[in-house]
Amino acid sequence: MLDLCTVLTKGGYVLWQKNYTHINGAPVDALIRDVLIEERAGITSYNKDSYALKWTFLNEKELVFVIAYQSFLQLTYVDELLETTKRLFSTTFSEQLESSDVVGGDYSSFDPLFDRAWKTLEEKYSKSKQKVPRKFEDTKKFENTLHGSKAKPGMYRTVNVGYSEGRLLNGLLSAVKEPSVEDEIAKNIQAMNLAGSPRSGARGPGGRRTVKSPKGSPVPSPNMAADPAAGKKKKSQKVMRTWEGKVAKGEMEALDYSKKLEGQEHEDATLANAESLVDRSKMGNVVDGYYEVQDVDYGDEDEDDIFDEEDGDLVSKPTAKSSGVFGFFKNLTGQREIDAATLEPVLQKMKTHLIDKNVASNISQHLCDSVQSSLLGKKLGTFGSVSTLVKDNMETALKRILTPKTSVDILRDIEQAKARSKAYSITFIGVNGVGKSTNLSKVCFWLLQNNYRVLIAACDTFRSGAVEQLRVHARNLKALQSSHSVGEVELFERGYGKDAAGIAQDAITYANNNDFDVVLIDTAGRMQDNEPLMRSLAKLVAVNNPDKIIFVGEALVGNEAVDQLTKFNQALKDFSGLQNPRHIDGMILTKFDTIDDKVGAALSMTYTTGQPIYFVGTGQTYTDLKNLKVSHVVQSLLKN
Amino acid sequence: MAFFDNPLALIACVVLALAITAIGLIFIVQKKANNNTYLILGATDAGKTALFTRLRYNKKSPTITSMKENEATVELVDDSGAAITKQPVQLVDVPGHERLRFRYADFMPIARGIIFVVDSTTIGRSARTTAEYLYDVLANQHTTKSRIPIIIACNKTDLFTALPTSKIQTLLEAEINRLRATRSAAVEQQESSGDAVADYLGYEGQDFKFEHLENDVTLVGCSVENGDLNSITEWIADLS
Repeated sequence: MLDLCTVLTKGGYVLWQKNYTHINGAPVDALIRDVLIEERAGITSYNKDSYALKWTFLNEKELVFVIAYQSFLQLTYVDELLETTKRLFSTTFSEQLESSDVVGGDYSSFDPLFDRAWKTLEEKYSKSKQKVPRKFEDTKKFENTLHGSKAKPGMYRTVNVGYSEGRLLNGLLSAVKEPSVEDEIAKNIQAMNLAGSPRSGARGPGGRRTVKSPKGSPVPSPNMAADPAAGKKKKSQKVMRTWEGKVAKGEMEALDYSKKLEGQEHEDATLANAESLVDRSKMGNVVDGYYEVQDVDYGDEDEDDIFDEEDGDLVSKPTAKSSGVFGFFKNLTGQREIDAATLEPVLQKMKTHLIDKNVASNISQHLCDSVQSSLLGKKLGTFGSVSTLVKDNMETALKRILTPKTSVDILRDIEQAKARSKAYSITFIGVNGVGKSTNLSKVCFWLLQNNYRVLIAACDTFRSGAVEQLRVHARNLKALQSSHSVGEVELFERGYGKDAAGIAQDAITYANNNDFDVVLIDTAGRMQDNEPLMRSLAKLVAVNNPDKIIFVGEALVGNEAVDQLTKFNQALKDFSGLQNPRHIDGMILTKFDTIDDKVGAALSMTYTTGQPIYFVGTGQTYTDLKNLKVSHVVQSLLKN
Repeated sequence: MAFFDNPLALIACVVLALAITAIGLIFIVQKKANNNTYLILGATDAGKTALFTRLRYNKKSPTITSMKENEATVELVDDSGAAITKQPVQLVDVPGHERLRFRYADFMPIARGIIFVVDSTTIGRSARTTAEYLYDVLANQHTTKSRIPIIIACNKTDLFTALPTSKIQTLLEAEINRLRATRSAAVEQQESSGDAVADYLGYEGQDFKFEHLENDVTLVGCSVENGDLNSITEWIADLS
């Protein structure tokens, strides 16, 4: 049923692995590359080809446990098996893992242990599901027979035999112990059913073999006998009918508030109630007879590090409370293990901080989940604080996300296309008014500086003035280019109202015939929800298959960034009608000079698509096109 | 406070404190002076972790894409079991995944040498991506400033499809030559203060060759699978 179970170190060693069938491809590699490295560890399962993968971390030892199985199987026990394996592995090889030489150890002896743990869980889960006809010995009838009453308690407790031999490890033990507790419960239920309704043939929990009352004779339950009688007695008492519209005497008194209100203490109580609605500390002050509302409190501005303040409280409060003085000393001297309760407030703070920096809210949640999963169970040194640890981890996570995983060297791509004597085409897409045409002309200027022949295709056939806008740009660029005598630029236009896909096709053919190096395709801006327009964009992409599809997005955008990108990507996929649909290859982030340090959009966009940001637009002139500096963005994100 | 009233005791205290500081400083300086850290870099699936395991444990071990760097102090030995370096060397295996490799820059200031692992069987297809990484390493300011020697270890020579070392050299040189042109023409970085800009690699007006670089770049073939690593260990032994 399982295909593969493996124990890895984060460094990349396979400590222990068991294949149950031949594995096609490398699902575990794919898991690491697509999920774990991309900081998407917040999700719980991952499907690759026909496999479903689940995993868990043992952060203390930097281990990863992975189980792979066929995704069409609904295996409910995988999560528990992973946890059991984790416990079992860490207890069995505790000495080996404790030593500095983790990789050098021999872990092959784990095979039988894992198999046994797996079998136990599988049995446990299959039992609760299977509906097998009960044996006669299990039925209620049998208990009333002579044999049944003679049968000794515990006679059918055979399930547990066999687990006591060998190494009885904590993990395994607890997994085994559970059924016996369930038996106990089942027994009680059985006894109760017997007493309550001897005829109705109460069904015990399906297929449990050990459902036998210890003495073999029905035990009368006092509760069951007493309760119905008590219920009857109550009901038999007569209650006076209350007629609609009339108020009974008792109710009248209850509804009369006039007398009570006169009581002084009650008034005080209401006053206190109203008082609680106003926070004195946040009251505004009266200036010149006007009541001025207090300013929004942004916290201490002089604080350099957002997480330093009240950090000590956050960390020590929960632990100190639970374990008293001893815990306090432990906090001071020993190594503390990080648990969810300790992380919670710090991560919450981190999350709001990221949202303040304009990161989309669900993305900051994902990131915090991912950081949490990589920190749980880690040991904290004497002088370490949780917040610095979280901050460091977040910094690495952010760097990872923002670092491009594909080459962003467009010039090199153009060279490659040139070698095949084909024009390199770049399509600019995006919503209205984000600066597609403006940044297209900036890119054009940069390409001209590098001595390329550029053709601009005006495929915005919708908005009035779009073609004229490009014409002005082309004229400017031509003037600049003739003064510097580098490159060459031409505008390809077919007026308004025509089919954009057709114009783009014509432009590419024209470029190929006239020896142009690059074609820049400007498209009309569109809302991501406008289906007809998205269809026409997908058509443009499907027909022309441009070398790069660049999404132009504003840096000002917040939560909307995720929606825009996912919907554009989805449209390119759904409406293309191609076998291998295209997707967004990269982004240009515009208006970057307007946002100060609220650079969250950069993170939202790269996280959503997994694609790099090619350029950022930082101003009004042709030269205001820059490369994104990852360290700068990370710094701005974490800075207060 | 009677203790501190005695001037002799006070002086003794000061002297002691100074001595401790001095010893600490010497210790730190010494540690920095004889840096013997060797970085193992390269693209994913080139065989970095496998090479690391070979050198560290002298055994073959199944590996998978690394998520974290591996570090170890290793005593390198020759066939007879005698140590070939005066003192154990520090090996750092940096993950090759595009999103993780930025970590290598943190180790550059203490690097004594760089082992750049290349997969000889796939280099024909992945020349560009490999060269981009190699270019970043070569153009790193620490590489150029402290002339860190680099050995390009062409791994997997045991396989039938492996390219010869000389062919790999021409492939990489040609790629770097092209990269050199495009990188210098790239749009400048935002907020750049000008110091991070890499120097032009090699000689201007000439096709790029590894010999043109100021630091030593050696190419060798090796096979982690067969334990054929003598060329690398000898190179390390020569350096330290």
